[in-house]
Amino acid sequence: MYYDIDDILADSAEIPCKFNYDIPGLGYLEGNPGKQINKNTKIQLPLWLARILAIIGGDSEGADENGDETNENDNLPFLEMQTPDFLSNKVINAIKTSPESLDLHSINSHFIELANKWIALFGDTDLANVIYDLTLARSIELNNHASSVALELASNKPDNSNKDSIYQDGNNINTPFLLSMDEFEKKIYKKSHNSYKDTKKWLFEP
Amino acid sequence: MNIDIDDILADLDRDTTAVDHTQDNFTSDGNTTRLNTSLDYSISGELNGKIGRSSEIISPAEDFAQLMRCWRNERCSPELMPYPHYLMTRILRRIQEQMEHIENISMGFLEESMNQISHGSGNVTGDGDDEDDEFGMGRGNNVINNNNKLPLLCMEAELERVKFVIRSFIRCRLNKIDKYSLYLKQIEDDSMNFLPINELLSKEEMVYHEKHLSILLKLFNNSILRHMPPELQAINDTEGTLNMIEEPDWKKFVFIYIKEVKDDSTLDRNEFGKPCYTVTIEELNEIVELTIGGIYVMRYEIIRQLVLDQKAYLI
Amino acid sequence: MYGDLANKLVLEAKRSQQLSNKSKKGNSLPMYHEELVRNILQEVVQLSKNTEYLKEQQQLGNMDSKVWKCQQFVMLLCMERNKRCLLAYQRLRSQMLDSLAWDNNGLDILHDTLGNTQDTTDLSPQEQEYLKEYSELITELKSGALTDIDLTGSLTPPSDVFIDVRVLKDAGEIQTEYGVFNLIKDSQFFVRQSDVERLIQQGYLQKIK
Repeated sequence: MYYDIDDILADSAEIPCKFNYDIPGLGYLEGNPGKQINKNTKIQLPLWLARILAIIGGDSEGADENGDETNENDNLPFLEMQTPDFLSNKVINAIKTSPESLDLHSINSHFIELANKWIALFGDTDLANVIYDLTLARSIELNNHASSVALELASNKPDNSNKDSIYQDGNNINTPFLLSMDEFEKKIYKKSHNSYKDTKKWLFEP
Repeated sequence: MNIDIDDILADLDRDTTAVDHTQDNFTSDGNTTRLNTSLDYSISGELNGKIGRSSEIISPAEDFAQLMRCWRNERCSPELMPYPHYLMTRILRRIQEQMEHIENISMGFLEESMNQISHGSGNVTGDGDDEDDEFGMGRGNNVINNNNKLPLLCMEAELERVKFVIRSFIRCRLNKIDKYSLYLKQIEDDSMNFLPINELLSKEEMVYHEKHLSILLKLFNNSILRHMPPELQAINDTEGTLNMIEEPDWKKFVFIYIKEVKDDSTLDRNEFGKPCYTVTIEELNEIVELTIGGIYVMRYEIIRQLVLDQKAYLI
Repeated sequence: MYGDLANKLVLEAKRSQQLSNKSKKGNSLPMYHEELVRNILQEVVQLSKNTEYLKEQQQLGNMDSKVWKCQQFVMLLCMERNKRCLLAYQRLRSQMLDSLAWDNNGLDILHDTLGNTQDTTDLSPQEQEYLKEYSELITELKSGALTDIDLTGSLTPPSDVFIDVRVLKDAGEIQTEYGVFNLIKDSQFFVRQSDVERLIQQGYLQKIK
């Protein structure tokens, strides 16, 4: 996963963060180099930065297990991550109403991966259920598209990229659903569509 | 001359099993335990390992079936399976012998046709283009000669197929070696594994692994790592925010088939009295009974031991 | 903002990945982003210097430990992020080089006759060296115990032992085990599939059904 390009891109998503302390010298994070960040300021930070700063903080690594009263204020993590736009209530409602017709790609190109990361970070079971239903509903739609394989004779086509077969894929890739898939769904679509194509070729090739 | 298909097929059989007769002369009486019929996952017993010194003779057909199983397992498994040393040595040797055999037969045909031509019975084909077959004879020659070549053609086709399976198998393994090279390095250094590295990989694969890792590291070091501050120069850093070593995906879903066993008295029985293996799914806190002959789909980590013990195959 | 340049590099990597997925044959790498890589490395050096400075300040007692810790972590995370992006970019390219080496092993690596030329100048000098060394490694692996099976051969199951092929381009004389074939455009031969696999891959011959 370290080297996975999509994981890296997903990690670059911006998350709104609320700082728990005044930190001088970090002004550049909000575009004000040289200034300090004040407590309770909200800034958009990339996930790869935010997720660590939301865990470590204060004088000790993470929360103090003893819950010492006098040190409470000093043991908060440096910042608190808040619900990003792509997981706002508006989006959640849209998912619940009609998952298949949702334009996932425009909400975030790595929506599903990010949602999974968020669920893992916060143990958010409600969100998990929503995403579960979303994935299931869209997978059915995805499979419908992947399995409609229209093979045409390649002999008439100038494009001989697939020399091993006399058939070629006649599928139109511009249907609305296919354009709305996020990166995760695209990967699955590609695998399953190729699989269906191969099966059909194997069944019908002389 | 009558072309009897049975003769041709018998010839074929004799040819492909001829290899066995060059081994030691003792045969199996069917009752003794077969030492090497399992997938040869261990090279312990090196002394017994010389081909032909094993206590039983493995037929080529069995070896091929095992090769197919190894191939399927390797392609479906997320991790690198142990290298079947003995199996591979036997098969590679058989391939070489078969190639010589085919060579001899085709030389025989060549002589035969030379004789025929010199006796004035050669038919020269009238085709304009160069359609010589590999025996140096024109097509449309004696019908009899063509039919005699059929067993040869079958043998060649079979040989190509075996070569293909091995090629695909080795390439798949090399792919995994590349993907998990740092993980393998970690295993190598950690003596607490279930298999030493020289059983997991063949000699050639070990050389490949070492060399490839070193040239890749050279590339990374020179282009990137050299310019990093000292604490960030490692390629296998597991202490940072992310683990840099990629491990196989133990949670990958795989399809398995539970192999039949001759003696199932030691196995558990499920509620219907059918023999089965019991595994636990930790996440769901569930115990699952896998019946013999059944096909299941579950995460690899659950059934990993069954596959390594050859009690189940990946399909 | 730190890490922005690195993001650009990763997007570039993603684009290369998508391009190579689309083309069925002969993926050639785009140009090595020398400048972008250099800039990212410079950013890392800068961050490293900042970290050193902060450490001094901390030791001198000039900083509140909490503030220092936060600043340190931010620097460290930025450097780690840059490192990750750089390595992912380089690794993707090295994987493409690997498949280039396997596809063209034994031949002119940089040029296959389909017209997909891998321009040497597109590769960084370290990459060129890597490609050469890896090709040698493959050749070494191919010889030895596994010679018979031709590791760089076709990965689709063999269909017929002998096939009809048509010549697509003039290629002069080709020496095979069974004699010399003169490759003239549009002529046809009945040959052993394994012999001509390489030529089909390169685009000189086409299998006729």
